[in-house]
Amino acid sequence: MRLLLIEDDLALADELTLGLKNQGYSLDWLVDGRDALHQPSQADYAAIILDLGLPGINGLEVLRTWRAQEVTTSVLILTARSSFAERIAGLEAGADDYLCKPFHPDELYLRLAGLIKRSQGLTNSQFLPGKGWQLDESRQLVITEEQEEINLTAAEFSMLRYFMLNPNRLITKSQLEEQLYNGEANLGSNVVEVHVSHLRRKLGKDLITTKRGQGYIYAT
Amino acid sequence: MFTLLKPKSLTARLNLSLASLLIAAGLIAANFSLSYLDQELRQHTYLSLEQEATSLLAALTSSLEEEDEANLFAKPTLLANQPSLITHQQLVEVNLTNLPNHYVQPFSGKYFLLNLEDSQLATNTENVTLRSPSLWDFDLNLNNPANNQPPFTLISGPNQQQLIVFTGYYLYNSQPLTLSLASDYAPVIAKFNQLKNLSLLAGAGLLLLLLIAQSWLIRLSLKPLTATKNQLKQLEEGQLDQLSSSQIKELQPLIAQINQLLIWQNQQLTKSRSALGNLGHALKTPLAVAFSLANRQEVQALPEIHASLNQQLTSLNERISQELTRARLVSSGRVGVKFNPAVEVPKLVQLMQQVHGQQIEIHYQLAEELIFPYDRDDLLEMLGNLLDNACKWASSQVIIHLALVEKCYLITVEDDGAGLSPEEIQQITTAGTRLDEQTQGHGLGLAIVKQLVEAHQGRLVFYPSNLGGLKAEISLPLV
Repeated sequence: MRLLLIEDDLALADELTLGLKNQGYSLDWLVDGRDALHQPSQADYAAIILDLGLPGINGLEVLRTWRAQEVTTSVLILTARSSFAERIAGLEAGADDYLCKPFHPDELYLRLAGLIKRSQGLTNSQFLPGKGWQLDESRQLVITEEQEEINLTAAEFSMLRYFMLNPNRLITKSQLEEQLYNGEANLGSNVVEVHVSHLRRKLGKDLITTKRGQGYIYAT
Repeated sequence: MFTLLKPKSLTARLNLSLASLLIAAGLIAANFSLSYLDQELRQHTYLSLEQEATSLLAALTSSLEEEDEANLFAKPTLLANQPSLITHQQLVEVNLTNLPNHYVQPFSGKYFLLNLEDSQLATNTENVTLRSPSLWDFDLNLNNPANNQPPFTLISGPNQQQLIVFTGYYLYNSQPLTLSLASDYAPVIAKFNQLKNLSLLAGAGLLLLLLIAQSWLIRLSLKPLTATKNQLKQLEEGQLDQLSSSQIKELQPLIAQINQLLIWQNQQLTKSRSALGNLGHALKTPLAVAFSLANRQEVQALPEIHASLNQQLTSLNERISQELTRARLVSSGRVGVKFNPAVEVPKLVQLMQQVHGQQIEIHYQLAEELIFPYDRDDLLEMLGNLLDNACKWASSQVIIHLALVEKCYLITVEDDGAGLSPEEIQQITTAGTRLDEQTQGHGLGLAIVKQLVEAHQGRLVFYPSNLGGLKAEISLPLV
C-alpha cells in the first residue's frame, strides 16, 4: 500500500511516516504544494494525505487541480482549520475525508484504512475477508476459520493487503516493489518472489497465481 | 438646575440659548424704548408746564393789575426805587375766576403755587403763597429746583397722584416771584404699564412663535445629523463598515475622523485576529506531533503518563479551539453570507455521513425558502457541532429541523441514542463541561455552540427527545 503524504511540518511528517510504516504502508512525502500537483500520476497511490497550509500553493488548490485532472485517488485532508465551513470547503474541493489537527494517530489509521477500503468498494470493518480466513489490519495478522492466528512480517502484511484490495487483477512485480519500497529499504532483485513464497507457505499454495513474465494475480 | 441649563440634546441647547438671547434682547429693547418714551413724555409735559406758567402768570398778574393798576403801572418812576408792591392782601384778592377750570376743580391733577419772595412789604404777612384752588387742602411743597431738570423726578400728590413739577423764577416789577406748576403724571404711568403688559404679552407670543419656527429650523438643519446617527447605528449593528460623508460641512471632519478610526480599528482587529488565528493554527501541528508521540508504544507502556499526557494535550487543544472561535466571533460582527439551509444542510449531512458512516440516517425538514439572516460560517459551526454530537450518540437516526416560528429562528437536532438524565441535561446546560471524556471533542463542540449562540443573543436548550435521545434546540432572535 503506497500512500502520498503532503505535509510541510517536518516533525509531524516524521511522526506520520514512522506511524504509517508501522501500519504497513509505504510512503512518499512531499513538502511543497507545487511539487504535489502532478505526483498522483507518478505512482499507484492507495490514498493521499494532504495538509492544507502548504508553502507554494494552498492544499485546496492542489486538490482541485487533481480533481480537474481526473485523479480519483482518495484524499484525506489533514489540517488545523477545523471549522465546519472549512470542512465543507474541503469536501467541495473533492476530499474524501477530513481530519483536524491535532488527532489521535489511531483515528488517522482507522480513517485511512476505511478510506482505502471504500475506494475499493469494500465495507469498512477491522477485518478484510480472505479465502476462508480474515486479515486483521489493526494487528497485522491472519485469523483462520479455527480462530488461529498466523503472524505476518510487515512486508508480508503490506503485500497481502495490496493483493486483497486488488483482487483478480494482474499485478506486476514492479507494482509490488513500489508498494514495498520505503526509501531506505534496499530491495534485492528477488525480494518480491521471496515474500510471495512466504505468503504461499503460510496461507496455501493457490493463494497467488504467478503469470510468468507478467506478474501475479490474487483470484477470489 | 445645572443639567437644565446644559441639556444633552443639541436641539434643546440651541433652543435654550436662542430663547434666552431673544428674551434678553426683547427685555432690553422694551425697557430702553419705554424709558426713552417716558423721559420724552416727562420733558414734553415739563415744557408744556413751562409754557403754561407764562400764560398763567399773565393771567394772575392781569388780575393784579386790575386791582392795582396805579400801583403797578401809573408810577413807573417809582418802580425803580420802590420795588414790589404786591402785598399779601393783593395776592389773596387775586381774582381766580379767570383761571382755567382745571386749576379750580379739586384734585384735578393741575396745580400751581405762587410764592412771593422775601419782600420787605411782605415780611409782616404770615402767608405769601398763592395756591391753586385745585390743591384744596393738600399741602404740597413744589419748591425744589432739582425737579426742574431731567429726569424730572415725580412728587407724590394728592390721591396717589404723581406730579411733574415746573418751577419758574420771575421778577414782577423787580419783585421775585416763584411760580410752580404741577401736572399729574400718574395716568401716563398707568398707560405705560398697560403698554408694558401689552408688549410683554405680544413679546411672549412672538417669542413662542419664534421658538417654534426656530426649533423647526433647527430640526431641519440637523436632519443630516439624524442621517449620520442612523448610519452610526447601522455601523454598530455591523450593517455598514464606513460612514458616508455628510452634507453638513461641520460634520465632515468628524465623519472623516470616525472613518479613519474605523479603518485603523479594522486593521488592528484583522491583525490581532489573524495573529491569534495563526497562533492557534500554528499550535495545532505541534499538538498533532505531541499527540502522535504520546501514543507511541513506548509511552503507552506507561499507562499513567500516557493518560495524563493525552488529557493535557486534549485540554490544550480545547482551549485553543475555544479561543479560535472567540477570535473569529469578535472580528466578524458583520454577516457575510447568509445561511441558506436548503444549500448548506445537505452538505453538512454529507460531511457527517462521511465522518460517521452511512449507517446513521440523517433526516432533515426544511421550511421552504427559509433564509437565516445570520453568518453562514457561524450557523454551520453551530449546526455542525450539534449534528456531530448527535451522530456520535445516535444509534440509527438523527433528525434536523429548521424553522421560523413566532419571533425566533429555531434549530433542533435530535438523536435516538441513549439520551441524558435530567441531571446531565442540567449539567450541560449550565456549563460547557465535557459529557463523556471518552468521546473526543464532545464537550468542546457543545461549548463552541454555546459560545456562538450567546454571541448572537440566542439560547441553547436541551430536552429529552421523543426518539429516545437528546434534543438540542437553538433559538435565535429575529434580526
